[in-house]
Amino acid sequence: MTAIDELADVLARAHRGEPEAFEWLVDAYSARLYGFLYRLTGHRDDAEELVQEVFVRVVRHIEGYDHDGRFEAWIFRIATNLVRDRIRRVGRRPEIGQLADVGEEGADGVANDRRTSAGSPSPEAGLELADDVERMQWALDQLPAAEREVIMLRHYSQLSFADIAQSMETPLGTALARAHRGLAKLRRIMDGAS
Amino acid sequence: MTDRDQQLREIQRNERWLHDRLNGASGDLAAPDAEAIKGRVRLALQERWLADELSDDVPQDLAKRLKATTVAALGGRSQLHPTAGMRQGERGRRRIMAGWGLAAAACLMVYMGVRQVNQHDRGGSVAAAPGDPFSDYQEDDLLVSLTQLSDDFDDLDYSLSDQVGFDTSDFMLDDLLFQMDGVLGDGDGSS
Repeated sequence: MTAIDELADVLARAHRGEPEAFEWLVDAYSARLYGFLYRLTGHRDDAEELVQEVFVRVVRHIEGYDHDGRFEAWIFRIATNLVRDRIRRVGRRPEIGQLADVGEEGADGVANDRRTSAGSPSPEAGLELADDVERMQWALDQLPAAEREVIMLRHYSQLSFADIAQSMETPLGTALARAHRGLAKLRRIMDGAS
Repeated sequence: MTDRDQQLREIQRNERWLHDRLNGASGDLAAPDAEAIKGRVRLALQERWLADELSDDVPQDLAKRLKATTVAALGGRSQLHPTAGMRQGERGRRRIMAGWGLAAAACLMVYMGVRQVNQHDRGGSVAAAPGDPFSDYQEDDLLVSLTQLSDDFDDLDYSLSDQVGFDTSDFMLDDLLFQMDGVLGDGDGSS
């Protein structure tokens, strides 16, 4: 049985409400979803909670999902929408964003909507910046939300740009431009901060 | 090479860089607690099962009958004519419009109340004629009017909500109880 067939079989069993099928999906997708959600929210606790919520939504709506080979696009779209809802509702900013301002200003038009007026990084901040994971999170946080979403969808879901464009309801050219701009900015920010 | 090709090449190059960064020597994020997620999934499955079971208990035509009863009960007070096909978005939009309507009406009421009080104050030196409604004016009068207006708005809001009909969501039972409460409230005149 190929991976594609296996997923189709699992989804058919999930349709019937078999717990083992959902556990299979958790094993297959939770790590990537968690990474994706953490990169978008900047909070580990939020990411954990949202991963659970994603699977709750899957349980509730799997009957309405008609498998067409795009399950990943579907589940990551749920995750993306949950993040958007969370940010809109709570307005929470990634804590790591507090550390913004380690040199250049604006990074060639990088949106600063999440930057704070914080000055030089504190000693604690410096320690955190030493952590590659946190440093990447900090850099991602400097990007506009739409660019960050495209880049993270691409990395964690491994969707094609066509699927991402469809998922985000934007033209393909827009998705490509966001990825192109976002990645270039990300490199500049990371290079400037290192 | 077209601009698009050039763009794609740069994206691919930068994606390789990102991949190395995210999955490099330091590794990316630790895995989430899969068991906790599975536990939540099991709970969600039980909730789904329960919702299915409970929905089986509801007679299929109950929603239709409740709607008809509710519309009949509200018919005398509302000029709205519900349509069964109203969608969620329409409900939201109508609620916003109704909210604005309430706000405008409340402002008008306050304005009229203040105007009346001012008129009364300007004529304060003149002895009030017997039976002059302003001579018995109380601030509570305005409050009572606004409260009544708010009640009317609640009725309107309720009738708008009712037009959406039943969802197949988890809130179905809540909706049902809410609607029954509304019908009973109207029926016994307590609303």
